[in-house]
Amino acid sequence: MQLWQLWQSGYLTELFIKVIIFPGLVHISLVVLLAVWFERKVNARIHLRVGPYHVGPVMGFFQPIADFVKLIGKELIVPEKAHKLLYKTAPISALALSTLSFAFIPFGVIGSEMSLPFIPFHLSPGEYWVVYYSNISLLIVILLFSVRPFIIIAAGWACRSKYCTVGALRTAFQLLAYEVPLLVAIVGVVMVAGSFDLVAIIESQSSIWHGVFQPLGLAVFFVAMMAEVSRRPFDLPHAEQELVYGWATEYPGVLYGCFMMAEYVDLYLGAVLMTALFLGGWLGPAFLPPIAWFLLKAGIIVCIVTLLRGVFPRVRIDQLLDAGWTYLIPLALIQVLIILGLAHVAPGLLGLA
Amino acid sequence: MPVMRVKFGPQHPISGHLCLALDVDGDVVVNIEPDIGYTHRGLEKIAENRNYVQAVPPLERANIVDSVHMVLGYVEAVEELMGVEVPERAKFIRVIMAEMSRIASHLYWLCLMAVAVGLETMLMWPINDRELLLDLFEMYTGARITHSFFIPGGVRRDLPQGFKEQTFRALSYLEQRLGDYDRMLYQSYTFKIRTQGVGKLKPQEAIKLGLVGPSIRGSGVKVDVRKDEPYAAYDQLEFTVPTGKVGDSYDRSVVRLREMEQSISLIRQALERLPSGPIKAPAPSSAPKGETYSRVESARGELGYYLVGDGTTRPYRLKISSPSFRNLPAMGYLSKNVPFADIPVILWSLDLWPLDMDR
Amino acid sequence: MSSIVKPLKVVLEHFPKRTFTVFHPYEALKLPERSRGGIQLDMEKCTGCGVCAYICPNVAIELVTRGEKRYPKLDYGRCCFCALCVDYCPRKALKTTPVHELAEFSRAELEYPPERLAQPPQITKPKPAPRRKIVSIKKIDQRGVSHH
Repeated sequence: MQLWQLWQSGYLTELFIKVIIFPGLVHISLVVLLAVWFERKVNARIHLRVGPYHVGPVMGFFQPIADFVKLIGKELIVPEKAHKLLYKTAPISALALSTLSFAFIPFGVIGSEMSLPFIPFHLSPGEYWVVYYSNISLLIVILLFSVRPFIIIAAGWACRSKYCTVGALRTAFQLLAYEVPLLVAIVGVVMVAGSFDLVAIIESQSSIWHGVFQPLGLAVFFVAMMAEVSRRPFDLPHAEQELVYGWATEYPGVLYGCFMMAEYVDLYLGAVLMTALFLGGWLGPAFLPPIAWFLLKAGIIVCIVTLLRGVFPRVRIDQLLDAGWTYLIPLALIQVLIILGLAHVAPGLLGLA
Repeated sequence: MPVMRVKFGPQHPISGHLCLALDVDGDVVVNIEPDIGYTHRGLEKIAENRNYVQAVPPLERANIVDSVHMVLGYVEAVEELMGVEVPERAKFIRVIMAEMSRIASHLYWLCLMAVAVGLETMLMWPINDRELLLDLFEMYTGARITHSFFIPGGVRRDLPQGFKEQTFRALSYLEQRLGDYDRMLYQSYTFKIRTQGVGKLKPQEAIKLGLVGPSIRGSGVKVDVRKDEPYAAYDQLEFTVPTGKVGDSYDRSVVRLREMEQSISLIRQALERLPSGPIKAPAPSSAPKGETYSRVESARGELGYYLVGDGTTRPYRLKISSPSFRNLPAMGYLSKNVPFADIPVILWSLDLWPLDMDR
Repeated sequence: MSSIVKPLKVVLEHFPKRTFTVFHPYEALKLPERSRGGIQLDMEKCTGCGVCAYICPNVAIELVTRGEKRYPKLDYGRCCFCALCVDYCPRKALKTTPVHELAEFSRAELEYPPERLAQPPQITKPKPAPRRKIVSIKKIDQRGVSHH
């Protein structure tokens, strides 16, 4: 009875806890709830008004849940000429893809023994909070990140409507163009760490964080990440003012809710990647457990990105592509050359050899 | 890709109640065709069926953001037809209300311009600051926007107690806020690259198209009715008319910001030099036969009223020449072969208000 | 570079400022005395001359007979709250009140006969706050102008 053996060894419980609770679906949903609430409150503070106030115990905390419940209750009107299969599966697949990337990212080191009463479950120190450990985890995450544009194009094309088509084309330009600076910014990190394993990358930052000696790489990654996730000032894909809602115009109710949730999950994914690659992951002084350091750093990045929504206007598509190709790629390449030079001249500085 | 016809229809987040049919090729707009008339209410015919005092409330709803100037032009035309001389105090009060309305209209324009560019913060701040001016209006006239406060012969009521102090406090606060807007929007990198070089209009082209208001002043042409044909105490006050240099959307926006500063200084001068005296002159209820034309400088440009009286208590014909209708051809002229994202920027830098166009 | 930093500085300066929000209906909106809301009739002073019905731009006032005298009847569905009738009444029998909550459930109830017009205005009081205290209640005349 293989299932009984799996249960006895504690594997099923461990899988359940890691996939559903942490770092899985419940944790991502809570973070999305927090991110939406925080964005609305911070933007309201900048606008000199009070954001959500009435729903929930503390200053409208349950407002995003109320909005989601409202969206579920709406009638789904499918356009007549739409491609039915693509139309109905695109939102779910976008959300699933974004959430899948979290399966490969380690969130912390287990410090002491963990076990539960009555249920076979055992975690020993030295293991990592990751759903599936692989030694090319960064490559897998990047691969999944690169499939996103195609789902969005498919979602825009499935509606057969003018607004959606033009929006999907603009999105395609933007997302595919900013993949390159993103990847080149990561090259420096991978060179210093020596592997594509996210655990090894974080462990290699034990002497000094990567972001300290690679400020250009950090800045390029930040800007490219904001453009990939389509946050203000780069949120042309759903530029309401021009194309009603861009590629997601025709999606009613819960399908639109899935797209919106996928956007915030992507934002959290970008923040987590930035923490792991440049800001030392879970490393920090010992008065907080490693998981807390990881979540704190990722949370600070999410806060900064939501704050920038109220500060800058939106850029135009041709200016966006010009900036990406003229400024970001050369800066990232210069960063790689600097790292190569430093590695030859002063390897001890970077924590190598 | 073939050329697509996209409608910036009347139900669109950025166009107001204006319908523009665009021919789009990829990302470039090839041609534009405006389709106006969605808010036409027949105000000119309404004015023919009311007498000279009753026509004031309907007419101010033609352009409700800038309601004082709509009434001011009409009342000036009627007074010129009837031959009524307005007392000095009423003239100064009219200047104060007109300039406050100009600031309120420009603050509302600033909200919409920021939304066109994609910044919600600059939607919330000016609308909040406009509340100060609306509170002042409510303290004086009793209504926030729909005052209907001028009648042929003067104004309806006198200033209340404490109006001057409250106004000075509000004006000093507004000056500080205009500095905030300058730093937040006009010196922001993204706003500059969105609006500089977009919708360039040379002075000769602007004159040939027949533009009025801040749209033509942004190109460097100094045209202002308050200086060319002064009305209602403007010849006794000092102010300058700001102009731009290049004629693109950025210059047109800066002209409106400078006009707000000039209006603040005008209100201060008028309140200091307010003479005492009556506020109303007796006006007859029927007008003699004849025709007049009067012009005022509203927030969007020159507003003209052509009035024909025929000896009864109702006018025979009233024609309104609105600034947004005159600026509409520039929209089609400037939108040939521009990127798609420039259309809202050009639209709102010209400040085309659909209610004003359709009357 | 400064054109990227300046907007950020302006935004950060706005964090400690107070909000503009009025927590209606838990806070009362204090309107100035000249505020033009509903109209109140003084039946003693009214003589039934009809100037208010003549001057109204939207034909909202109609005179009805009560015994020997005539009194105005006001249709709020047509009224545009311009208060020309108040200004032009020769006996000053009409008065503006700051009541602005005049909604009814049917159009017939919007026509106010003279007896209903003569009733004193009912200003709505603020509702009691829900289970927790309202965090910020500010006076209206301090809103905005003292943000120095």
